[in-house]
Amino acid sequence: MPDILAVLNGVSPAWFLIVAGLLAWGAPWSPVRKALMLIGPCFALLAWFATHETGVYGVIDLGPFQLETFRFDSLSRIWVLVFILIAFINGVYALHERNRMTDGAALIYAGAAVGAVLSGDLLTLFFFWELTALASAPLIFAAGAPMAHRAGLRYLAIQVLSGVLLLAGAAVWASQTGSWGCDAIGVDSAAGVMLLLAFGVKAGFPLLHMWLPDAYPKATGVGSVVLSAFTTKLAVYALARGFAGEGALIAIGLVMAVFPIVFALVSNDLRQTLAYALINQLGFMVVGVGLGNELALNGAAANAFVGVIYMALMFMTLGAVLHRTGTVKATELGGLFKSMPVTGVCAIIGALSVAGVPLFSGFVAKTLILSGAHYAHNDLAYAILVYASAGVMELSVLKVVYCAFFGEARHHQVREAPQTMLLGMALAAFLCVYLGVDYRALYELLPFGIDDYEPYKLNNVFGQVQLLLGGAFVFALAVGFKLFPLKSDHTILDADWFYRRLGDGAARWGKAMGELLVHAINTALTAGVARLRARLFNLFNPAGALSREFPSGLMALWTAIMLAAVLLVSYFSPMS
Amino acid sequence: MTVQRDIKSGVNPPTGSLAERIRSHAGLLATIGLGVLVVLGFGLETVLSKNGLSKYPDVYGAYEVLPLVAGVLAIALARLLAGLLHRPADFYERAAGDLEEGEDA
Amino acid sequence: MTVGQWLPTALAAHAPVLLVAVPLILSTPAAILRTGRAGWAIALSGALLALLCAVELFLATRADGAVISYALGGWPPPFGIEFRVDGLNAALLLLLTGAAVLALIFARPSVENEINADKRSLFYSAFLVSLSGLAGVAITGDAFNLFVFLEISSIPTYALIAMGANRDRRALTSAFNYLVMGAIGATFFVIGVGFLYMATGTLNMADLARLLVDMDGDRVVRMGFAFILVGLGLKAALFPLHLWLPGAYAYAPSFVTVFLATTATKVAFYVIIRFSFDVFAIDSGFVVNALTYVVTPLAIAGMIVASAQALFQTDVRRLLAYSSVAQAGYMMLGLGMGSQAGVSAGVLHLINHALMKGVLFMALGAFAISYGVRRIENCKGLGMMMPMTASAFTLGALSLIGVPFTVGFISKFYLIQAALAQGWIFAVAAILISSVLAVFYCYRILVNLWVTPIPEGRRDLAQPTPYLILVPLVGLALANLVFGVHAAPLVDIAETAAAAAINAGTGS
Repeated sequence: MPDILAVLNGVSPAWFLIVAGLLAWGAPWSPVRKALMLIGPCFALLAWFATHETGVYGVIDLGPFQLETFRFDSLSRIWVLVFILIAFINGVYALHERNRMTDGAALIYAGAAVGAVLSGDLLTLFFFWELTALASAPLIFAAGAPMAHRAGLRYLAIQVLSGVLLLAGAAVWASQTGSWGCDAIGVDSAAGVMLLLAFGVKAGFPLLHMWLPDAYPKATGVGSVVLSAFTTKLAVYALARGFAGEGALIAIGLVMAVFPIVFALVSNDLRQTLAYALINQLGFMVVGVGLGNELALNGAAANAFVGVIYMALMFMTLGAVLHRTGTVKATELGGLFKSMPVTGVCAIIGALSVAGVPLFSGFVAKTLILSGAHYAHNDLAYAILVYASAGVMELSVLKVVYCAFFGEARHHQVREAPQTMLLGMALAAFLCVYLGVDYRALYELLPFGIDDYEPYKLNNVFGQVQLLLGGAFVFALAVGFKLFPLKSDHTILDADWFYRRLGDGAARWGKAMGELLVHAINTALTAGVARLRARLFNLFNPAGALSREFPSGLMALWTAIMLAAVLLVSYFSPMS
Repeated sequence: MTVQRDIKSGVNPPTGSLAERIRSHAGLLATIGLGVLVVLGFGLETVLSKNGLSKYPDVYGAYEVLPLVAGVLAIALARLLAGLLHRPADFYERAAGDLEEGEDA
Repeated sequence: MTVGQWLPTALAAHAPVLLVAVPLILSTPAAILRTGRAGWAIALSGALLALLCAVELFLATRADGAVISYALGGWPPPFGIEFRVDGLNAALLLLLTGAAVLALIFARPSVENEINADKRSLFYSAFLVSLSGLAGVAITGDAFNLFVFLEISSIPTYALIAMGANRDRRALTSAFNYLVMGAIGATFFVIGVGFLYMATGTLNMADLARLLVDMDGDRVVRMGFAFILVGLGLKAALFPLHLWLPGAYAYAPSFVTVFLATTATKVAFYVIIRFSFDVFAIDSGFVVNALTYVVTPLAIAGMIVASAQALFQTDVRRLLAYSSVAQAGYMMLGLGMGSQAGVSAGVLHLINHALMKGVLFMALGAFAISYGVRRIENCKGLGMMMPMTASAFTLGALSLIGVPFTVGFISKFYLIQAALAQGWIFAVAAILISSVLAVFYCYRILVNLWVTPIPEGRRDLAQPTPYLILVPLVGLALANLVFGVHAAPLVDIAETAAAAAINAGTGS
């Protein structure tokens, strides 16, 4: 065993995942693919354990620049660990699914996310950044419906755009500083702003967030699990790398933590509700990054770690519901707890973790960020985050659990989820509870040592419980008095109105106008040519030699125009 | 859609034993229980706040009630939003011309 | 002067002329033998011999500033016709002949599928003439001789394109359009050369360069430059003079498209470099201004407009043809910068574009042979049925987009660097926008290849891809990867070429 570890020392875990993914993509036999989905993450985990020393490994020399593919330090290791863990859990969860495309794509996507976290320079980051975009899109397409197809295209467009912004920002950054290094960047320069936007798209900054509640609910059941895990947390990592302590992030994060509540409450698609809850989670992490002190950064890392697990758990339970009932719409679900008790218990555990109930993982992570805000004397941030943790999360996840598993039964005659799905969910649920109880295990992974921090203090626990009970009370009252805004199957216009309605309309209008314009120009040119030809015809009168319209006429015209342009330019050019 | 009604989704009214009666009113009981706990909690905090039971450090008093008010406000806002902005679920698909009249998503 | 490692010294000394003459001479027996296989064998051997000569010349010009001058018929330049090889056109000749050999290997199954048996030998014969003409354009050091070779290469090309009429009658109109426009281009070029002759009294390019240095203010010279630039721009499919290209690429036989896409516009592009930087001094104001204010905006417009047009095509080959126009814009942009870094990036993109378009069009040829696929929606499920070919196509497409670890990334990277060095942020933006558009049009095809399921009944038609197609296809696809990771050789070639172009122009 030590020998294997010695061999794996300094080998990036990303390669195991990506190679396994490529193999799975090409393998036509389902058992092989399933084995790969379990073996790949295991090897990656071995490689993670094998590399003890922090440092930069796997440098590829590309002539003008060097690509650092494996930067192992205290910040990156925790992200890598949770990505590998969730890849494994997803491998278990997806054992029942027979889909060649999603198997391979999920692994490659995981590998790309790990690779991006481990990249030591902006070019490597860009490569893996785009790979996450490309590898994750099939997870949405695989759902098959035309709606999924279009949502996938929008998703892909936005993700690729983020990568392009990243590359542009990196190029400008490198030309200004002479370094491609992916370290603290700051927003003082145009390059910094571009990079912040690139990261912000993936992190779901307000108004850049629409791809998230748009695409995630349309992915396959398994797909949304992996989607929820990687892209956004990767962006938080990148922000922590480049923009730790950036004041603007606090404001952005606070907005992210609060505004999704309304949308989470009104959206009828439960996975969309979860997507909004996810944005709210991200808001916490972004605030943590923005605060920038050690406690807050630790909090961001811890939140990313547990957040990946409990959000995946929530999406897993809904994936199981989707698998059995074929829908996750609030108006079509209810009372499933009787027929799917294990899934229901897992969903409750996940919800308790999301809400931050003491003894569950969400609590020990969130309290770090709150302490960080307190440490930074940012009382406003503190107050808003407390509200966000109680109000937003609880209301949104309670809604998911209540609408799916309790409430009015909708007569879905279904069986319990498949064994393998249950196993995957149980693993995640176990981690949610374990990390909440044995929180030292989590704290030891964090970038900065915090041995003396104690989350379970009486006032903290008591206050939190009180908040959550109050939130539950409000929820119960709202349900009891029929105040909850759940009426019919509907969609709520969010910021995507700008591009899906306004932008789309403008594009259509522009295309129509452009066609008119081109048509007009063509007509004018053709008319001009025709008049000229009519004159020539009158002069020379060949018997209809040129009776058809060839583009050669147009082209000759262009040639003349260009000749005139060159002549003019060179005529007015000065002597050297 | 109330808690009470969806438990007795059958036609028959609840009959007989205490257990069944509890089950049929589980939602109401849970709401009452939660309410009692919340009131107790705030009471305890008001009494003991000098000893620091508040979620907020350096602040004494039952300020946890504020997020609850905010939660209520959020629900109200959500209702308002749903009333103002809700569209049929296939709104975008129709707007983009993916769905014609009379087609389903 | 020559290193002569490849060929015996006697042959090596005459490599420049053999490179042009061998394909030209072999075209006669190819036309006389009436069997397609024999024609193919002769064409392949001719191309291989030319490749040998090109390798010889390439090695001989590796040394810094090495120039091979070959006086045709023993008449010394500037009075006789001179063949002149330096780092710039040696690289081009290598690309040209290498592409010809690979395309010919691909040709046999493809031509047997697309051309009538009685026309095949004539087809190969025409191809040899065209190859000879292109090689002549690249190698000659005489301006009027260049025009002659331009016509020698063009006329068989029109015929080759028209051969696509078997499958699609529109090939005829496309060939006719190309003929008309090609003739306009060549005429413009020869008018320009006439002006230069009027002003200087010489046709030898090196001699012209020497004389033109002092004739900066001469209106006639400026006129000549304008005509030459426009004429060659037409040949190189500089937007908006590209209208001949989509039709020609889309309806020609697959083999011709592969060959044209990898070589024809590239040769014209080379001539533009040669004239802008070498014959005319790049430091004269009118050249710089024409490049900056005419070529650059058109290049950028081409990059974006043609990419957007590609987005809306339904025919795969037409889509890639518009993409070629956009890619020509990249090369022109590099040229338009007028700096050594820019030219180097342009030449690098020229080589890389040949690599990627070679793969893409070859893979399309394979699809066409196996399933008669031409439209995008017909590509459905091909990834499962022809995994090798589809993978190669995917590699080519990724390279076209500019994904890291492919050659496309390398040249875009150098182009962006050159633009940044110039301070042309707008050019960087244009490159990025065009790349995003490329993502979308490639994506349309790739989704159909890999994601959508195979239509019913398609599976029964399965035919294996011929090995003669797979070998060059996979080879080229791997080259896309290998040179994407290990970019140094190509970068070195491009830098040598740029140095040769610029330094020769400064009258060294």
